[in-house]
Amino acid sequence: DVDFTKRVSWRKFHPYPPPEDTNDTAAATGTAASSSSSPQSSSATGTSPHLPYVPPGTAPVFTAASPALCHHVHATSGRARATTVHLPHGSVPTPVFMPVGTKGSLKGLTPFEITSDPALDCPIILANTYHMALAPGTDLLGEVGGLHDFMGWDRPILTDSGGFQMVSLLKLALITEEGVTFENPFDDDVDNNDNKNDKDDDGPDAEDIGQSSSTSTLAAGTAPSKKKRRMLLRPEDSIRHQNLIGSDIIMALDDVVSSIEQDDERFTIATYRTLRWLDRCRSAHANPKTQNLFPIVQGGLDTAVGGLREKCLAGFRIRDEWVPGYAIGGLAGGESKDDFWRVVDQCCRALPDDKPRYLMGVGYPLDLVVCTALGVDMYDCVYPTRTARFGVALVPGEAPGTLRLKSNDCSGDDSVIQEGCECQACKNGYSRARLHFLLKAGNPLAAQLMTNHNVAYMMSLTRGMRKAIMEDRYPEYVKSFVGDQFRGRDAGGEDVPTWVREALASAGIDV
Amino acid sequence: MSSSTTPEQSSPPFKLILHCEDGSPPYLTPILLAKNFPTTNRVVRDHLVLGIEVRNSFVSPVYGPRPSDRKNGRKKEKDEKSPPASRQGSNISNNDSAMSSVACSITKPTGYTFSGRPLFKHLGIPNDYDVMACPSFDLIDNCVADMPVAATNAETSLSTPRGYQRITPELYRDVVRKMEAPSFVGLYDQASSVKNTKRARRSVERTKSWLATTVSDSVTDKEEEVEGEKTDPCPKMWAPVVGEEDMALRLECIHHAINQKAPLRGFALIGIHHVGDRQARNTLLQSCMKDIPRNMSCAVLVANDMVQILDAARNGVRYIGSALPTNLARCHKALALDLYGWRRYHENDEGERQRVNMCRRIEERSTLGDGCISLDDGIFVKDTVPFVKDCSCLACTHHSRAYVHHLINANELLAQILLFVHNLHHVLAFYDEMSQATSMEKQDIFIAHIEKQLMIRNLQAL
Repeated sequence: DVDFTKRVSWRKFHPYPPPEDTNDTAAATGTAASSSSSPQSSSATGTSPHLPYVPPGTAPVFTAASPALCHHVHATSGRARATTVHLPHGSVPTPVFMPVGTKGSLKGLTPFEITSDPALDCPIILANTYHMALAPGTDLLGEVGGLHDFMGWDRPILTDSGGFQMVSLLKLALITEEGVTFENPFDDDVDNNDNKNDKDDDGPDAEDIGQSSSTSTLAAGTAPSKKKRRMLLRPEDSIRHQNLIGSDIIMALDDVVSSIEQDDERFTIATYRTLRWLDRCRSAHANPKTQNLFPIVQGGLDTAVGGLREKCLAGFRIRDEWVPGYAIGGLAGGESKDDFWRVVDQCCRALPDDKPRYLMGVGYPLDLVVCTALGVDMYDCVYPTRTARFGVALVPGEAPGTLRLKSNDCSGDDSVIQEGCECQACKNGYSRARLHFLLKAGNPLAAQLMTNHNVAYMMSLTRGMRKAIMEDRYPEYVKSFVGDQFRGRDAGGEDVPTWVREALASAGIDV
Repeated sequence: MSSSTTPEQSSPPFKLILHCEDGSPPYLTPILLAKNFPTTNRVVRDHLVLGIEVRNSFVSPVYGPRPSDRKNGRKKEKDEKSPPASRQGSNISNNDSAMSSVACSITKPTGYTFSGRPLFKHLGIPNDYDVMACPSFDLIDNCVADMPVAATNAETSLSTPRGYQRITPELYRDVVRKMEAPSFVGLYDQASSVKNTKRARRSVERTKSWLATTVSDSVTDKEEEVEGEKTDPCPKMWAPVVGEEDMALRLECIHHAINQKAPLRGFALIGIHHVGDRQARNTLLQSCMKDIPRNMSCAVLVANDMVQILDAARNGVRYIGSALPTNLARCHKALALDLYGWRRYHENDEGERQRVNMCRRIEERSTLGDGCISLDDGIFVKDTVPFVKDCSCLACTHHSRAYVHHLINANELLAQILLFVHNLHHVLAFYDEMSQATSMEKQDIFIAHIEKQLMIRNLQAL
């Protein structure tokens, strides 16, 4: 029983308003189960209690309800939060950016560097289930004790479910209620011998899928070729893979639709299917005491009251008891920034404040600053590491906040990328000219140093945000960051984009 | 004959001149270098020298109008395609297209030349590492499209990332002086491996004549230049010895350098690795070493594999340059030799003596294995052990064969990084063991022990 004429939310604390939907009494009271000192609910008067704070450094307490995750909120500044997510392999201070190690390796960085370099010291990384299932295979990982032991990484890992590949490999995917059938993108062996194909086939034929019930969903483009090997990824398969990988946080397989899709029916199907798949994921999850299953909010860009996002959130609310944390998905796919922030804003207003919130596939430094103001805790994106390999360094200053080292302007520039940066390149005096030379020469050391710099930049950014939140000055931090990037046309720069102003205004920050 | 003493006279360990691509130790970010190969480590301190090539580390862009435009005082037509003139200090790549006007872009270089600057700061290398600079490890190896090295009596050409650039001995002297390198190899000319006797003769004559230009500035740390500390002048320059397979030409280079009576660090044998026949290569090395004064060191700038390294060491060459750790890493190979078994040999054991003698006879064999395991082999899919048992390198202590096998299949850069770290660690340990064996007068046993393993073409079958 959900009143979809009102916004869905639950377990909200100051400065968020108490839940409008009073059907859920637990949500309406907004009491925090873990604290005995929180002020009594004031829902009757329309105000929320304050989120109970836990001093930094407090030892985690894992409970029967949440045996693998303990979330401590240390401070808030506006809607931004500084928290620590305690996981089986370690603690993760937030806001946090998770570098992406798609295939079990952060490109060009050793695990030693990622943990020992003070400028990096990444508390958590992300690996991709789809790619790990392809190679080296999750059965192998299960045999050797999981990805942690396999790659020599002793800190937390988060794995994506493989859902994003529905979008990124859409031409190779066929989505049905059962799951997603992927054509192996690495399989060049187009064998004309049908017998061999039948032997290798571990999923339904494309023709059978196409002729099945109306619940089937054909991906845009052609169905997977019968002649190439296919991989069927059901929710149960995704969870099994992630169980074998042994990551600390695993994601439910969701029905992901590109945010620029025009088919509303597709979004509707995907939203409800995501809820059904979540239940299947939970049933298949073999390690609830050591791995945390996060559901992913879907619903396209429909943020209307009673819209698809609300439907999805309502579905998560009734499952909240066993959910340790939430992810916001279906974004970072080319949608407008105006749509982007509104979805993030809605989800942060709805999702419980005492559980971590993970925004998937984001992103650019400006996005992190804005979304943290809206209440997001965790981020991941390939952008910093990928753009590094193209010779683009992330730097403070005017938008877009990048420096192209391959530019001729850098060929004779003896300054470092960023003064005061503690990365291996800047701290050891690698000049822009030197990096320019190494990049032009195709020397792999350039990619290593650039990746080191960009990851260090992101780590510095998130640490700066956290510090500002702890000191309750995050609005000032945001204004400084935004003002640095957008100095205004009168000053020869750019004006603050409308979406940034509006998003921050929603967070109570006036730029 | 120079009366200068060298630091190697009292205790000559074998030293690896690690080929640093583009001026940086391959794959080693500063933190990886400091963690895995710090100079506080005795093995690193005793056996590692970073080899830097001027040709790819000290190339600098030239901005502004080309000298030909300034001299002629005229503008070029937009569609004119005349090749640029080449002058010292303003060498222009033959690959650059002609300018369309005298007023060129201030951000786009109009040419390239060589310019020196303090190398430690420029290259980001900590200044406690030993460094040897050279024009190139080998001019022929860096030839583009089999083009012969272009040189005149006044200058030669170095292959750079910006195409061939010409360099005179004066410019080279200026560059190395500003580099402040602990040691450097003099500028040389090198004939191609094709047996052109006239060209070889010219290369020797030029190398000899260029020696004088740089040798006078080759002493470091003059007493008055070091605040408050008196230091003994240490020769910096290595005299290049060219001549390919011609022994007489090589000896001529050596004798000429000796007769200069100038302070020299030692002699750098160029292009020895081009001598394909192992017997001939050994004979050449022996002859050169016989004429090199005992109080001076000898370096071979390029040794491509373990056999060439062993041959150089066997003949008394103390400085042996190689890109072997890098090249093996790029081929997905990890060195897996047993470096310590030689210590278990006992000379009183008849069986051992026979084994040693057998290995001496096989030294003429030129086709041997490489002492490696190939991590791209499918047998390592589930092999969770280190590359080499009891190896203390970063790769072996933190990772496994299975993981690196996966990284190779996934085309991840981390595979090469880990393999390189292991291979360099292994090679330095090899040099250390070789040094100790030599000091214990058991070099023959050590070399035989290694060569026995090199006979095994497929180490991973063990």
